[in-house]
Amino acid sequence: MVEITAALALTRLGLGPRPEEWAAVAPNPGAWARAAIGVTDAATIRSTDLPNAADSYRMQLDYRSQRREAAETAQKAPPIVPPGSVSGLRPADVPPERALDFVTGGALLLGPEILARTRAAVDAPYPFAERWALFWANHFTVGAGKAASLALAGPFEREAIRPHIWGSFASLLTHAATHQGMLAWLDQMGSIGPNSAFGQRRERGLNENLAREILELHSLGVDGGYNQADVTEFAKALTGWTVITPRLRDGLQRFGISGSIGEARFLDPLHEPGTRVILGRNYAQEGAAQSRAILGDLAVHPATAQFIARKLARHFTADDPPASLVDRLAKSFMATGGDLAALAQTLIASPEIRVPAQAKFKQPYEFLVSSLRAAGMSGADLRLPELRRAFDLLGQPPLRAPSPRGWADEAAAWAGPDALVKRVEFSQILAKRIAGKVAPMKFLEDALGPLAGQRLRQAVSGAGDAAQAIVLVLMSPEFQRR
Amino acid sequence: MTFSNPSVSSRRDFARLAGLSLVLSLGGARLAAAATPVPADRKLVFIILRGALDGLAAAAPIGAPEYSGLRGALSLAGRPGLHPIGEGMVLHPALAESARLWNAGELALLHAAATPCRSRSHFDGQDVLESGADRVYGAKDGWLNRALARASVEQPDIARPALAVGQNVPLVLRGAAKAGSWAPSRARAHGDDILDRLMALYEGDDLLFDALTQAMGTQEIAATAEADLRADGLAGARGGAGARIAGPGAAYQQSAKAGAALLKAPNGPGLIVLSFDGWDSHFNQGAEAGPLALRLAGLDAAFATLRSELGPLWQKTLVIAASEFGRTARANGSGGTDHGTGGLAFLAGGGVKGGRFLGDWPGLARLHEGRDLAPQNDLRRLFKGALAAHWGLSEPGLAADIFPDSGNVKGFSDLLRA
Repeated sequence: MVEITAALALTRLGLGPRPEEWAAVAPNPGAWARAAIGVTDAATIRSTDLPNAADSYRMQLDYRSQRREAAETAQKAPPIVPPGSVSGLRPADVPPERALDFVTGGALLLGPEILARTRAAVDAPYPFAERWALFWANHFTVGAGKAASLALAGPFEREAIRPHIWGSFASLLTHAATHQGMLAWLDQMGSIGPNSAFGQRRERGLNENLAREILELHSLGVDGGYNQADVTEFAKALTGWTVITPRLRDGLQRFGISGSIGEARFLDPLHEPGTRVILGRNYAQEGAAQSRAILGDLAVHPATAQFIARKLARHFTADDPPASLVDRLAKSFMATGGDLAALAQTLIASPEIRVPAQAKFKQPYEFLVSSLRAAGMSGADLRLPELRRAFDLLGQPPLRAPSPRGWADEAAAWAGPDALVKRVEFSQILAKRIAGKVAPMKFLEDALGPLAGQRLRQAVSGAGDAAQAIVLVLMSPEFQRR
Repeated sequence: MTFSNPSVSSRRDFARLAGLSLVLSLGGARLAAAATPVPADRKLVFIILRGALDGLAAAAPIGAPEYSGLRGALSLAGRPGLHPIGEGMVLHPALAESARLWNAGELALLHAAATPCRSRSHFDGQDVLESGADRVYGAKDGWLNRALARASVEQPDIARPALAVGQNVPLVLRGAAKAGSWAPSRARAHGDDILDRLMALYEGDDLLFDALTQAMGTQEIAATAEADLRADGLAGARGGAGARIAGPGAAYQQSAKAGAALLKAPNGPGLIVLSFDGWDSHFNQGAEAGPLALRLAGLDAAFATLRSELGPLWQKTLVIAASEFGRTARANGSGGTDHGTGGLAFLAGGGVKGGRFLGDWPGLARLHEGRDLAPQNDLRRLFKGALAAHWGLSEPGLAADIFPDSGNVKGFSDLLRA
């Protein structure tokens, strides 16, 4: 069997080489990547500092009520800058799209999440697992750019995505769709069956956002053959799934249901009764079993296999991926009922992954992480304030994708003229820091090894100083792509 | 803030890429019919309202008998601060500047506006809104980019650089004609000849070479607009119509401020594109106050900022703001609105023949698929009319190149005062 080279494995299947990784990967690069598959905790983030979703939700509520009280007592309270996590970040430095963090407590909760997540990528013991997890986290995007999901985006990725990347797609889809983060982000918390016990008492009803986005973005894809009636039916089936708010907890007492604030629950009194028809199939189940059955069927639908296969192939090879790879991945998906470990095996074994041409332009997050790794930095070296400034500069702050589709995965969306200049600016900051510690030619070998072309080698050796040489490596076509 | 000083050779490269190669790439298009020349200093601003603006909240048909029943708690009828604009319509209380523009005859609205896309997917909708094709993924470049290419042939005087405000170039501006992008930065170092060295490294790599070439050209523009683009200057004008606002709409105002500064620069762009995100109001959007009202206030402030910052140039500026689709006419079960079809578009500027609705009003009695404001008015009618009137582009190019297969979609005439 032909194997992938170490350089391509490290950059394409991993997150970019760390200096010490070359030697470890060289003997058998394919096996190095495959070793991650099926390892239970290969990409989990375990930190005792990070709250679970329910705690995070409650912390945000507490923060908001404290802030309200402060505002009432002081009439015109100054904005509260949460302590600790944002030291060094002045309110004036906060871009307007992040102003919400300061009103809602998001800065307090998001900061540690961003730090932990970036550290996990820089230190990743199984870089392929981390890249695989990041792909699924983006597929099932929950963004922090909305007050309702701000405190939940981090816990969502840690709880609903990362522990489930080697199981079935059905399991991943179900965990994602029913987690607090997704229920809040796509407004399922506000969707109530009009004929449910709750719906009849209050003038509330359906919100079809989650149903539509599951069909369009998470499973079948927009051309997957569903119509508006399917969306509405699915929205009815999904009613019942919610996050317990203080108000809902009070309302549930009437039904003899107790719950704790911040929990994700399926509640019968919110569920629209009746049989649902989706894609021509009847779902007569009661309660949560109905939506679980629908999710299970969506997860193994041929349109889903095709949609996932194409998206994966595009992520790992090229914006316009080879049809042969899409086809092979889709067949693997169908043959195994959406087994994600098998899908990963198929991907790594595919010849399309071994082509020498580096066709993918790195997203800013990938560029930043691979830069820090090439510089030999470890997660412990990272500090939140400067990390946030770097992410803001590069235009891809973690956990903050602007829409349910997640971050774009093609060069046209990232290689804008100004975006490239921002990468230069970041490179200059990093280069200044490491210039005295690593010789430029050593850095070039650490970062690219045999991927570095002759022209780059000459440019590096002819650079004005060490910092400029490092910038040239980081900004080279070879390092900007994978 | 310091800006790098690109070498003479890279300036030449920029001019070559921005002008010459564009003409070459068009080849036979030079045969196009001669058009009446338009003044060279015309400015065009395109604002993409991403997430689907609730047009029935922005311009509410409170006079329609079905209105209050459909809107329920979202109904604006009887709320304070409404801006009546005739025909039973009111502008949302947050749209004070828009009302002022309307009354001054500098704002026209297109209600029940839609792209040819009917899938109610944000991403399909934005694709078609920006590509200008008659179907999803029908073109890989954007209609404004093709309009630039066409203008370089038909109206060479107005073929100025185009810029997106933001780090990256949105689809509407991507394509053969080179376009730049600009976003504020707190780092901005460069200093040495690093950009020139990178240019040499990028030779033969089209993606990176073109992007860096554009960036260096844009830096020259930004350098002349430097005072206006200072980070603190971006915090918003003080006092008057451009007063700084807070909340989720603040970013819109800042973006407009940057756009105006770039437009005003002596060598500034003729076209800028702004993206205002966050209009997807599924949940508790509010009526006269609330999250949607804050965004509308931001959009309104963006109009005010453009007008006040551009000064005399406002008379030569055309602003188009459009969204990928509208939202359900009926409020949903959670105080918001779901994805719909017919939406609302804005046409503003000192030369606009405003104070009126364009197109036809379909009413609320018969909704599209029983739920959405009908897609009565093709957005391409607005875009084609605007390009014809403001840039002097001719119908053959508009119908073939810029909006493919749109021969049966007639651009609005009469959009601008003579």
